Formats: sequence, C-alpha cells, structure tokens
Amino acid sequence: MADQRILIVEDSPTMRQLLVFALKRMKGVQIVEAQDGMDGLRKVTSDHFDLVFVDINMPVMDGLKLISLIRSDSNLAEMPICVITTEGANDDRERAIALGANEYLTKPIQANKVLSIARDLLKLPV
Amino acid sequence: MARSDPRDSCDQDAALIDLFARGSELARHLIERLRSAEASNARWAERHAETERCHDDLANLFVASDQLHATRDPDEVVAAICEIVINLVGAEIFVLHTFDPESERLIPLIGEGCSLGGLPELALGEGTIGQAVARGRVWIAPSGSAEGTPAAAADPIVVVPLCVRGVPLGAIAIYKLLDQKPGLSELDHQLFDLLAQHASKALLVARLEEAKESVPARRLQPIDRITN
Repeated sequence: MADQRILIVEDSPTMRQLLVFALKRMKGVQIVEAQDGMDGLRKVTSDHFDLVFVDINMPVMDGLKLISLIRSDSNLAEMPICVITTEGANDDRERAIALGANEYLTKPIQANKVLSIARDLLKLPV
Repeated sequence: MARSDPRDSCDQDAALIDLFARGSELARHLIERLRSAEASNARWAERHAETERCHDDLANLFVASDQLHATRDPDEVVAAICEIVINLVGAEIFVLHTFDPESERLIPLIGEGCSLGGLPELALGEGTIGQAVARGRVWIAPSGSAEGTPAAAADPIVVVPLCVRGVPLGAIAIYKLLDQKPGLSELDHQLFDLLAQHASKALLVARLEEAKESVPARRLQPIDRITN
C-alpha cells in the first residue's frame, strides 16, 4: 500500500515537531510541514495529501481562510481536514467545521488523540 | 424379553454423574482460565497505556528541550519559551519577566493574554515571583487556588524561576490555564523543571552569543557573574 501523505500547516515549530512525533508512530506515512496558510495552500494544491492538520491562528493566511480555499477547490473538496485550536471557546472550532473541517484538536494536544483522529480520518485500522 | 439388570442402570447413572461432575469441573477450570486471561489482558492493556503515556510525555519533554536549544538568538529563545508555555503547558495568561542586573529587579517583558501596563517591577524576594526566583525553585500554588489576571496584588498559580548557578535571569509567572485544561499534570511539573533548567541556560547561551557582537555592559553582568 502506498504511503499516506499528511500535511501539517502550523506556524509554531513546537507544535509542528510535536505533531510530527505523534504521527510518525503510524507506519507508512509521509509528513510534510508548512509554516503558514499560504505555504500550506501552495503545498496542498501542488501535491497530493490524504489528510491535512491546520492551525487556526497563523500569520500570512489563517487556517479558516485556508480551509475555505481548500473546500472551494473541487479537487480537494473531499480531503480530510483536522483543525487545531487554542481556544476552549467553540467559535473558531464551529466556524472551521462549518467551512468543511472534519475534526478538531484543542491545545495542548495529546499524541494519542492526534493518532486516533489521524487513523479515523485516514480510515486506517486501530 | 430379557429384563435389564438394575445394577447396570445404577452403573450407568454413576457414570453419568461422574461425567457430569468432570464436565462441571472442566467448565469451572475453563472459567478460571478465562478470568485469569482477562485479568492478564487488562494488566497488559494498562501497561501498554502507561508506556504510551510515558512515550507522549518524553516526546513533549524532548520537543521542549529541542526547541529551547534550537537557536542562539535571544528573541527566538524567548519565543520558544512562550510557545512551550502556550502549546505544551496550555497556559492562557502568563508573564515572562527578565532580571535587570543594574536595578536588580524583575521586569515584565512579555505578557500573553494580558497587558503589561501597571505590572510592577519586583525585587528579588518580593512577592511570590520574587521569592521563587530568590530561592531558585519552581513554585506551584496549592490546588484550588484561584486563577486570574496579573495585577499588582494578584498571585500567579505557577512561577518558574530562570536562574543559572544561582544567578537570576528571569521568571515565568503563569496566571491562568486554558479553559479546556482541567489542572496541572505530572507532565506539567516535569515541563516546569525542564524550563527552569533549560530555558535559563538557553537564554544565557543566546545572550553570550549576542555579547560576542555588541551588548550594553549591564546585560553582560549576569553572564560575567556566572562565567567568572
């Protein structure tokens, strides 16, 4: 089976490294990192990804804008998206889900939750 | 027609009773084995979960340490400290203080989730923050302490002193955790210890690096006190 490709769009190097650590525990995944929404958009439109993790608060282009652009592209409309939010408040999360995100993670993230969501969205056996 | 011998019937009954007893014994034995296997399974599942937790905690600690020492730029070290406090600890409101060796006071440098306006400069030993820095030990408020916003009279819930060999460089004062975070975990305590030990050293190294080029003499004082 071909490797599953995951894109992490997150401006915080700490969060990116932590997500990579968690996701690397799955066999057969390739992980690509983007450091802001614009970088993420460039990568997601020029390459194939099976899953995208998107932070909401980012410079240049925020996560909500990125999700709306991804969902407006017919080639990417079905690609699973998991948003990462800082706030416990539901506003950002609900807006992201309304824009087409499939799942959400709240900071501080837990590796087992990251893995569980990734396996679920990639439809991998537990 | 031959009559059956009553003794044969008795033998058959006894054999059936014996068979039933052995069957029951076997069933009991199997149930015991099953229970034992289930208990063993539960123990292994628990150990697996514990190992996963340890792995996650180590990953957090590794990432924190790696990020702190990934740069020698003082501003980037400060940014890494803030990121760790926000993303790994899950703090919503905190203040990073820097120690000014000239005035010997802790000066609020960065406020996350709050304004620095009105926050006092603190002498070593003054208030919860000053005391934690003077002692060089992480201070954690007793459980049940109220979270709040930093103010002249407000106490933080955690103070992480940033000192190297007893020489103060600053402090991290956490006032509130993210709403979704129920409280401090064992990992948080480890992260505070790691920050106390590594954030201060990372800051020191970054300032040494900066000092190679040109820095005001007053900023070299804490470094001189350590290196001499």
